[in-house]
Amino acid sequence: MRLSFLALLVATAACAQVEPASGPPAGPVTLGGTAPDTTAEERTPTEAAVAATIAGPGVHVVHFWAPWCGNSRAEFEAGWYEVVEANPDVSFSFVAIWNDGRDSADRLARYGITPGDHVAVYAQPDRGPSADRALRRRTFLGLPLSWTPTTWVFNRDGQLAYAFNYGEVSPDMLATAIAHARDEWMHD
Amino acid sequence: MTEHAPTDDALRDLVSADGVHVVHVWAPWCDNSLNEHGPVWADWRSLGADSVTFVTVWNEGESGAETLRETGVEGVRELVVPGPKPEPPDRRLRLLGVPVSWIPTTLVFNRNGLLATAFSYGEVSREPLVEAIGGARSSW
Repeated sequence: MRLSFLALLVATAACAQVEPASGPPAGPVTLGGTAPDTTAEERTPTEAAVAATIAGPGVHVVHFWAPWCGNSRAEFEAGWYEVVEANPDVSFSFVAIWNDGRDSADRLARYGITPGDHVAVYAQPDRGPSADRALRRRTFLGLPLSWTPTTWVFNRDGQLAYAFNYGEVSPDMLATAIAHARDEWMHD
Repeated sequence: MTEHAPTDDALRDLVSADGVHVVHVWAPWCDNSLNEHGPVWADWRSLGADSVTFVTVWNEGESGAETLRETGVEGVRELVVPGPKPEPPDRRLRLLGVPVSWIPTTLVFNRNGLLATAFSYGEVSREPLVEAIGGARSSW
């Protein structure tokens, strides 16, 4: 793999409106036993829809973002739409989080990303007003969600291949992750 | 998907400390895992992480310490998840809430125990791992 994290290292100036990684206020670690897998009954409709999408063959990108987040906007401004357009066989699910249940599709459209055959736009509702960080959902399909933007790449009928849960993902990084998720690896 | 609470507890103690922590999931019988040892892990101290922990899985509960030595990975901390080598598609477990469906898998944690990056498929090479560790150390 040759994922370039250079942008991640040099673009710290773009972080003015980043969502602090506050997480639940209790302990420093919110993984493992404190974040059990989300059962089908507990899933929101958005989680159910994304789960159905990524369960299919091929490569799937699930991207979490918020319109108020400078890092999220910076990623789109860097040209994510080009990667979306260049990979029509890859599904892209754009999930707005911590955004009072709004999908902000109009904001996405400004960056050239619109719903279509392989692009879906969702909102993940919180358990109350998103301004109350204690009510924000911190997992999605049982995986930890602690930062916007977050990008996951799935393959093998819904298995996680790559997770970028901190910083920003450049278009090159995303394209590389997609390419490597397409690779067929085997072992005993 | 199986979990192993003692391993999770031990890992939680490690990754919840300040800094950037790497958890590497592997097995001695896995060629993909071994392919990484020379180019990536033999010089694990220079990766830039505050800790590196190897988690040996699906190996009948046996340690992989001898294989680590033989492949030039000296002095790294090893945890062993007990249990047999399951057949696919049952080779799935969950460590610190993160699904592991492939070995080698490499997880990078920061912010006192939050997942920053997961390489959960294929093989990772040194450059992106070093960059991921450096990125996890950045203040956004």
